[in-house]
Amino acid sequence: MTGLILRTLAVAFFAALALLPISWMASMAFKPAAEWTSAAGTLTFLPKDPTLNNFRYVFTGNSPDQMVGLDRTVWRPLYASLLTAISGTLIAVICGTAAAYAVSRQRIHESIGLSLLQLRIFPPLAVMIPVMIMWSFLGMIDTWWGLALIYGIVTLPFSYWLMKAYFDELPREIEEAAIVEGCTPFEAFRQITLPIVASAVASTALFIFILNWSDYLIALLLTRKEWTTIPVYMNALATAASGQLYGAKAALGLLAAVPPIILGISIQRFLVRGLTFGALKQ
Amino acid sequence: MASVTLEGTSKKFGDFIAVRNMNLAIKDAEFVAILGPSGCGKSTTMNMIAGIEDVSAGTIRFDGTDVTNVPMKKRGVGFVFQNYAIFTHLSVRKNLAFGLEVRGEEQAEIDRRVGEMAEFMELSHRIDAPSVSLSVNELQKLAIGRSAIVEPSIFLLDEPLSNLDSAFRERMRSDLRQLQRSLNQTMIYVTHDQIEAMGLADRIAVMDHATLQQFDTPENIYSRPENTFVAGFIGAPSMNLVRVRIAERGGAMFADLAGREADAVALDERLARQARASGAAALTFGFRPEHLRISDQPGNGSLAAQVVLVELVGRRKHVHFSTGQTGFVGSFDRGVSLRPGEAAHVSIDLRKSHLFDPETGLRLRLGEED
Amino acid sequence: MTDTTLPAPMPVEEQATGKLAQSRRSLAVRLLIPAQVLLVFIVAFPLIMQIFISLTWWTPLDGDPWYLAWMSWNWFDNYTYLMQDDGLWGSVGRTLLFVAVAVPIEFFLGLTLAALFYEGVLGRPVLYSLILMPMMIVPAVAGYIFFLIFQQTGPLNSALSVLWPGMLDVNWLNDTTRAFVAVVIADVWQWTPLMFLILFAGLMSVPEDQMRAATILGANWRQRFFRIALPRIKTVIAIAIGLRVIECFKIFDMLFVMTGGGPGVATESLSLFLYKRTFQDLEWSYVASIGITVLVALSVLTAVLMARVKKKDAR
Repeated sequence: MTGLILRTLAVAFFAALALLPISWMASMAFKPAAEWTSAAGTLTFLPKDPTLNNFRYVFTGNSPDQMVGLDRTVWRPLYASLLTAISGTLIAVICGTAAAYAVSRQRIHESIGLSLLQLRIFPPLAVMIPVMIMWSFLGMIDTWWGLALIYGIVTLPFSYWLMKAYFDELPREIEEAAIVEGCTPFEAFRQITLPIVASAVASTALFIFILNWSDYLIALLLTRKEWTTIPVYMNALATAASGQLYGAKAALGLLAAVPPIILGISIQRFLVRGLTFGALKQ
Repeated sequence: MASVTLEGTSKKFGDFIAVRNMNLAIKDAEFVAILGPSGCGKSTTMNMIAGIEDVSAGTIRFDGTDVTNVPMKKRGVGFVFQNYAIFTHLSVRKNLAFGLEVRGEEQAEIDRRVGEMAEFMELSHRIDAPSVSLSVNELQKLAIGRSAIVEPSIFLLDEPLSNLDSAFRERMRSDLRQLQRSLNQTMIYVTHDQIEAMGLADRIAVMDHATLQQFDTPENIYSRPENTFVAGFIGAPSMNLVRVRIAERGGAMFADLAGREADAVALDERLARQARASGAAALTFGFRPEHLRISDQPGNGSLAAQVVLVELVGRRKHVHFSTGQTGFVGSFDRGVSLRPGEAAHVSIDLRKSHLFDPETGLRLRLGEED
Repeated sequence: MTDTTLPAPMPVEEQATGKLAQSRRSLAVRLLIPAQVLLVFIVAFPLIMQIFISLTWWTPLDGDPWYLAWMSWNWFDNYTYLMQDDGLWGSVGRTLLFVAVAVPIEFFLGLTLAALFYEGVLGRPVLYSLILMPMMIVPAVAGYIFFLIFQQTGPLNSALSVLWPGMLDVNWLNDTTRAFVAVVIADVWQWTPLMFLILFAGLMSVPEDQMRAATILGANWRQRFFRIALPRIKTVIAIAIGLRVIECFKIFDMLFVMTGGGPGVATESLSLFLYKRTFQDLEWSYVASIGITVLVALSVLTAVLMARVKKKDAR
């Protein structure tokens, strides 16, 4: 019994360590400029004078706290983040599911799996030069589809391996029965197999959406102004006359952090599987 | 050296009662089988004795000492799991040595005892093999050897033979008996296989629906079942339990099976006294299939019945009879010639038959000794 | 070729299944096309282009399109230069040091947490979700969080000054050693949960009966943990550490936001070094040559590791 309580206390201590930094940023997002640093007085954990001005600033470009207005609000980056992450996810899930099914059932081109895994091993910056050249050659720099396409490619290994693990677990007899009943192989895939793995596809898609939404580097490399995503926008938020825009950036950080946390907790049971490319199950 | 006593022991999982008010006194060096259908609470009982499950109510004593709240690590029992729980990442030697190593025994002593146990369990030739490479039969021996090596005074086995092929099971049964004698341990053995229980145990605890039904020697379990459950559970084919009307005619008691007065069975003195003492108009009449005889002609208390089905089971013939109103089974030497559709005259060995109360299911008896 | 037996004509049924097998196969081939197109688009073609560029002096400053890069062909000058580039090797060394410090800490903290959870804690679902939270934070945002925390006028100094008056002025991110410690702390904070998540899943997969059997044989929890649980999750441990080493080696987002590689180059990882060469110096052909070198080195490394794993499996 004492052991249980001691263990709970130890874990609670770790949980507090995990939570403190996040809550610091969350609290910062609601603080007026005077409370951002200890320069103007003692720092408190909770805002002494909570305000929504930071959010007002990033959403409307103006705030009573700031003398200088913003020339770009967060609406456009928010739209860019959503559009590129969602379309990148669609590309990865569709191509990955189709390829996984083909390899799982027909055992052809199995090497595609390893090539995809290799893709995850290399630092993106080591292989981005030709991609940037190609993208600018094809006019895809600073377009939503140019970014979405890359997102689809870098998350393809996850959708392929995750879906392959599911298809491998699914007995082939189910489709064979449908084919004996007169379905074509494609009908069997679409009407029998896909509905069975629908929830697996959904979990995979949410997982990949989190990955795409969390990207910073690729958006930094392949967008300039029109299609910058929230993290890039946040970090590039110019220093105003009054110094660093701590509160406004914290508001943006909170905005960027909330969707993955909510989605991540909702697919908690799937995370182990997702992060290990389907190698481990929970 | 230890006796095991359960006093009013119960186990609840939420609202579900897994074991109800269990009283069981197992003597030192006794071999006891806990027998019952799946879900009857026999494994839970064993887990409580081992300390794997804690006890909801009641007491467990080893040699008179209350161990109800002693953690499983300190109870000093040996436990063989149904799936053996072999440490598959370790070799046979390391598996055998595990219990001694964690107790901090001297290396020389460990080597000596592991060698002995491997010899006894006929595993010496596989001693350095990885345990994953063992056959099921070898895994079984390793599981028993691994528990036996620390010489627990109480040895618990959870359906240890259920995964084995039948030929090896026979051998393992006699080996187990021999092991128990040589170690002089108290052995408690959970099984759903009555043949195993009857063949191995000094006494059998029959359980059903979380409740202990009867705890007695195999002979008494067979010939004097406490209630209709034990009567029906033990023996293959199981005891015939037929609802009968009791009638008294001319000072004699009759049990009417067929609904025809002419065919009513005249009870012998013991059964008649039991029936009279109960005063009930209807009772359950229990008789074993092997206690039936075929007569050539009617009369002499025999019963007219029609043969419905004949099954050949080994050297025996199982014959299903119908009296029109009720049915029962007889087990005969295969030499008996009966064909489906034939009429036959069947007589029941009344000295080995029993009457049960149809409400409570309890066997009628005249005093404790009966 | 002595076998001259003619193949027997196929029975009708088998012809039908032959057709079916064919149509299944062609479905599979078609389903594979999108992924293969993407792979060719992002792997095969760019790889050739990268090798080509890396053998020239080409930079976007020239104004020449990339396919005219052959005009400044220089054979292996980029490669000989990178051999002596202290900036590059410094960043590689720092990245490796970073991996060597951060990953073991993450592993031991993650394993400790997993062991605590495995033995049982009160309110497990809630604590579990809370513990996992850091790894769901966008890495760039995590970098910003720790940028805030390690400010000279930030909360850490304020908290420390309560414990030790006068600590208010520690300059975390402008001191080479302290900045390195700070980024290690940030990485440990964000990725210990991932270690915990995977290791805990591994522990939960250890059959309960094995642990019980060990307990009944007299093992205490330490003996159970080190003799039964840990050896059984060796593969899981390898996967967890492998994943973290790879990701840690690639680290960019958090560092870029938190320190930008500074002060000086104290926290400049390989990725940050490449970023600066790409966008500050625009030495694209040089970056391409480094990229090819990294590709070759990592491919050889993974091939060697894979071969070792396969050999072990065979045994």
